Amino acid sequence: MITVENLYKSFNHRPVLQGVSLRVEKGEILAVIGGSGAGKSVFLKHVSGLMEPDRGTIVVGGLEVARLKGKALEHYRERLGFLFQGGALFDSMSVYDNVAFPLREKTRLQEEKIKDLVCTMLEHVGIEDEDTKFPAELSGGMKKRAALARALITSPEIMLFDEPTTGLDPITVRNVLNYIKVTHQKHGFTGIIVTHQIPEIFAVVQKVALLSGGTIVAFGTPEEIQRSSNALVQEFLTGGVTHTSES
Amino acid sequence: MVTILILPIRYLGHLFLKTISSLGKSGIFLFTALVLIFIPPYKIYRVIKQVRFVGVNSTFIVLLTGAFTGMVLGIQGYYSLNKFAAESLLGPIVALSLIRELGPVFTAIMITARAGSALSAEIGIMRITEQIDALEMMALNPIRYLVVPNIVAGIISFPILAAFFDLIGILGGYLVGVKMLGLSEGGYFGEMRNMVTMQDITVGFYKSISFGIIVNWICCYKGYYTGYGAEGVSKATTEAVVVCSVLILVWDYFMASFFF
Repeated sequence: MITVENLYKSFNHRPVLQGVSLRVEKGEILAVIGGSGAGKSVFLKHVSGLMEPDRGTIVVGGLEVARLKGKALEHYRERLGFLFQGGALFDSMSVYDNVAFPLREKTRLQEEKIKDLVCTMLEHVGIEDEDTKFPAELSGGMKKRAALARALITSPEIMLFDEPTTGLDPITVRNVLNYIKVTHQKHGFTGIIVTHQIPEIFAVVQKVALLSGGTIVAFGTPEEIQRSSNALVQEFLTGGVTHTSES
Repeated sequence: MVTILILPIRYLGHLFLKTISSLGKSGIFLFTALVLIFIPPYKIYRVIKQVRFVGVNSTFIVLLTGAFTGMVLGIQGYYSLNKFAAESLLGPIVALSLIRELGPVFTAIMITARAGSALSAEIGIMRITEQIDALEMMALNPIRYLVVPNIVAGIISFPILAAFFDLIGILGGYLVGVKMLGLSEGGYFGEMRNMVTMQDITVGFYKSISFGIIVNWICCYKGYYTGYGAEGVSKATTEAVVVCSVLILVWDYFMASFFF
């Protein structure tokens, strides 16, 4: 479903990605783990088409993302949901309007139907009582959950999560991860999660990739990664890893 | 030694390339926005919202500056015309100055200061907080969503506000010339009716429309391509106001020459 081959990206002559290659099968969720500044978010933005690679290819469902322009890129993005690290909620809209926004803009659903969907989604992520608040009035955790609701409201075929649980308390982390798992079981989306949430993430994903030094140093199922004899993997899993260039 | 000689040339070359690239990028930005005005879906609600923000909310400041500009023109015009015993021409001088030049120019500068800077900052913050990326990820064109409504709002609001500026300015000139300095009311308005033509009004109208496009184009462009963090947004906002103010005066000269 998602095939990345030899992906290279530099910023001001500073290499961030140096030959990333991996594959995510349809219906699978991949966790990309790695140190801060390892280029995980940059990798995710390449998959979404927000950034263009210096070299290499990303093929999603037979489409080479970097070659997509105009309407083709628009159609590709209609299949995607993206949870941004900071939420990227629209400041000028309430939580309800933020979550309803993709439905209002991209579908012809009646307002009544939109209301049902939004209320159900807000209930799922546990912020149904915050629907009239604006992003500035929300805590970090609530913002994340509102952004998650907005990303999932259109039931996308492919979901990209950029650190969905960073900065959340342990109970909210468990709720958010559980919600991602349940939604995945229900809708069967293909997903990539960039995260530091180890080992909790292993219960949610089918594949794990460790990104370090601009390349994938380990790739496999959560069990394979946990059993890996690679020193860097073990160092990272046990919390001892130190790292790499800034992205 | 050679390096010292090469450095300024390299700097100039870099500056030249950067300027050309920036001009091209801003030109494509404007062209895209102008083309999207005519391609559905139309964001009518966003246009109304921006007309309110750019236009309605600027009314008070435009009326205030218009009144005082007209009053100053009344005093200065009377002082100059008095030397030639031609005070009766005060009405047309105030009206022509306002309708052809000062109305559109001052209105544009006041809106730049009030709404343009805010617009640039708003779009800049949307950029650095990834809200523009979020729009793209929803398969929405950020230029259609953020820039087009502002340009349309500018095309609608600027001429209307400039007309208000002209009107209140003429009344300000009347207050000073007729009520304070003792000119005849009939002379003030009668001469104005004789000398101000439809062409003068059209010139002011065209200028206002072009300023509406320029101000919204520059402010949106600077915000859209803002630098990183709060410093980037503050720099973009300052640049937007400075570039708009200069461009308004430069463009005014070219239009004044064209319609002379």
